[in-house]
Amino acid sequence: MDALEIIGWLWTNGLVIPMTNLLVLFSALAFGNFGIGIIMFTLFMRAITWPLTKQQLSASRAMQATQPQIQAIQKKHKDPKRRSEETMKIYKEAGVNPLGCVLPMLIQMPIWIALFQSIRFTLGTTPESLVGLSQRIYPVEFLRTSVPLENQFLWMDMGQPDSTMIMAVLVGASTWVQQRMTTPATASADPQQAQMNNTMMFMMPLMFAFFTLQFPSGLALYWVATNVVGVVLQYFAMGREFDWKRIISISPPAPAPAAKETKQEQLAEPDGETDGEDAEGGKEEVAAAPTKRRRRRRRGRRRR
Amino acid sequence: MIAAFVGLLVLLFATACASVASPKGWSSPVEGDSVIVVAHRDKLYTVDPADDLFASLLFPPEPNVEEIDTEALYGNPVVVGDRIFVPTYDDRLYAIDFDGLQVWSAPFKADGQLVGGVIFASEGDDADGEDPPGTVYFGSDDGNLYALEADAGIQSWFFPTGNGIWSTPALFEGMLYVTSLDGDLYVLDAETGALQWKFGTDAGIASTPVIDEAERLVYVGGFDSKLRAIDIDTQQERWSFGADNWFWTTPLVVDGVVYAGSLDGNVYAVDIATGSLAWAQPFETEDPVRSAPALAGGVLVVVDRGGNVYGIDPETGADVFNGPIPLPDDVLADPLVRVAPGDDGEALVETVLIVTTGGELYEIDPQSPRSRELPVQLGD
Repeated sequence: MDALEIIGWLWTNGLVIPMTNLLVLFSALAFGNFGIGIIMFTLFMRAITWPLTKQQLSASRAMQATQPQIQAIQKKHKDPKRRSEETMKIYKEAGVNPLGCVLPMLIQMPIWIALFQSIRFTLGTTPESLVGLSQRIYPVEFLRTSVPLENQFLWMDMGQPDSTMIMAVLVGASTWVQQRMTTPATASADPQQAQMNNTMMFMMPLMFAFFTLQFPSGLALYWVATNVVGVVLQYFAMGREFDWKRIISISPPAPAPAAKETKQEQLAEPDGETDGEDAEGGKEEVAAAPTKRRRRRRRGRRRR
Repeated sequence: MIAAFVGLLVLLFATACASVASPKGWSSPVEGDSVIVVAHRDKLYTVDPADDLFASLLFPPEPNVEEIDTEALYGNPVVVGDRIFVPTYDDRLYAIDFDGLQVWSAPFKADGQLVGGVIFASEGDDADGEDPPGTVYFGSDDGNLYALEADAGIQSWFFPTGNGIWSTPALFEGMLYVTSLDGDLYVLDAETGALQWKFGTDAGIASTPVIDEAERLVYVGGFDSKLRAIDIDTQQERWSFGADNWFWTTPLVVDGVVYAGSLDGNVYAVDIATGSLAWAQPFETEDPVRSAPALAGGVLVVVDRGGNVYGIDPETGADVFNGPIPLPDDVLADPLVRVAPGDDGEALVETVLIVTTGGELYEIDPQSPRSRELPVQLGD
C-alpha cells in the first residue's frame, strides 16, 4: 500500500464514512427526515469544529483591530521587506498570529469536502447510489434499517436541485451576509487588493447561488444552515459591534481613516521617515498650493 | 482574501464531486418468442438469437432517438405477443411494438420514477386480436401500484403504499403481491386493487417477492437484512434468515431450497423446511450481490456487482468454475437463462446472458464457462 492509498483509506474511513453514518443517524433520529437530519448534522459539526471556529474568529477580530496600524505601515513603507518587518512587529506587539485566521480554515477544509461527499452518498438519489450506501453504513441495525431516508423536505426533494430558485437565493443571501460580516469595514490600502476583495464580495454569493442550481438541494440546505450558524457566531464574536447597515449596503468598504491620519501625521512631522515615493509626492502636492499662490503674488508685485 | 480563495477552492472541489448522480439503469434481459430484449442505460435493444446475438436499437426508435428521453431503464420490460411494455426512470410506461413505435396514444405517466418491472395478466382467453386483452401491473417511486388496461393504457385502478415501490409485483391466484420501501408486503385483489392483507417488516423492501406455489409461501428479502418466508394462508412469518447486509436480489426457489445473494457479499442457500442454511457455509463473493441467482445446466450462476461470475454447485455450495470469471464492468442486472445451441451446433444447452453496466452482453455456458466470453456491445 503506497502513501496515496493510505491517504485515500484514511480519508474514506476516517472522515467520509463516519460522517455518512452520522448523517444517517441524525436523519433516523429525525424520524427518517433527511432535511432535518442535515440541519442537526450541521449544528453538530459546527459544535465539533467550534474550537477551530473560535480561534479563527478571535484571530480575525485581532487582525481587524490592527488594520489601522497595518494600513499606516503600508502607506509609510514602500519597500516590501521593510513593510513586512514592520507588519510582523505590529502583529507581535498585538499578540496576533497571522496564520491564526487561515490555519483553522485550512483544517476545516477537508471536513467540508468530506461533508459534501457524505451528503452526496447519503442522498441515495439513484438506485445505484443506494447500493453504494449499503456498503458505507456501519453494521448497526438502527442505521441499516433507517435507509432509504425520506428525501422530501418542505417543498424540496433533497436529492434533486431546487427548481424554485428559493434555495439559490437563500444560499446567495446567506453567503453575502456572512461575507459582509467577516470582511473589514475599511478597504485595503493596496488598491489592487481592494479591487479584488470588492470583486470577490459580489462573485462569491453569485457563484454559490449559481452552483446551488446544479447541486442536490440537500447540499444547498447544508450550506444555508452552516451560513446561518456562521452569522450567529460571528455576531456574538464581534461583541454586537457590527453595523447591520453594512449588510444591505452594496458599496465597497470605505477607505481607511488611518490612511488620512497618516498623511496628516506625515505633514505634521516632515522629518519622519518616509521611503515611499507616494508619501513624498503627496507631501509635494499638498505643499504646492501655497507656493503657487506666493509666486503669483510676486509676479503681480513685479508688474505693478 | 485568503478565506475567499479557500472558499472558492472548496466550491470547485465540491462541484466536481457533488453534482447530482446520474442514473445508469439495470434492466435485465427478457425473452420474447423469437427475440431477446436487452436494455442498456436509457435504450432498449433487440438481440437476435438466430443471428449470433446481433443487437439492434429498438427504443427509442431511429430516427427520433433524441425526442424520447427515458433517462434510464431499471425495471424489466415484459413482452406480450407483439407488444413490449417498458417502464422507464422518467416516470413513464411505454407500450411499443417490435419496430419501437408506440401503440398507445401516449405513454402512461406516473408521479415517480419506475424502478421495478412490469407484469402482465391476461383476461382468461388467449389474445385473438392485435391488442392483448389484459392488465399490466407496475409500481412507482410515487408509492403507487398501478393497473392499466394493456390495450389502451387506461388506468384501471391504483393502490397507494407508504413509500416508493422499486420491485416487480408477483401474481398468484388472482392476488398481487407487492413490496414497498415502507417495509410492508401488500397483497391486493388484482381485479379491484382492494387490499387483502399486508405483512410488516423492520425496514424498506426493494426486492421482488417470489411465490412458492408448492409450499404456499412468499419469499421476501429486505433492508432489515432478513430473508423471510411468509405463509400465504396464515399470513404469518414461517421463518426468517438473517444476513450481514441488505437483501436486494430476487430469490430463486429450486427443489426445496431458496437461493439469495446479499449486499454483504455472500450467496445463501436456505432450506425452505427449516429456514436454516442448506450449505455448510455461505458462498463468499468478492463484491456485494444485487443480481438474482440463476440456475442453468444444473449450475447456480451468480454475478456480483464487480462483474465476477461464479458457478456454484446448488447442493453443496462448492465453486464449480474454480474461481470467478471476471467481466470488465459492473453487473447489477439479473441474468437471463436461455436455451441455446451448444458448441457442436446441435445439442441444446442452457446458457446465461449477462449484461454489464458498460453495455457488453455476455453469454456463458455453465458447463464450459470459458468457452464464450466475447461480448456483444450494446450502444456506443
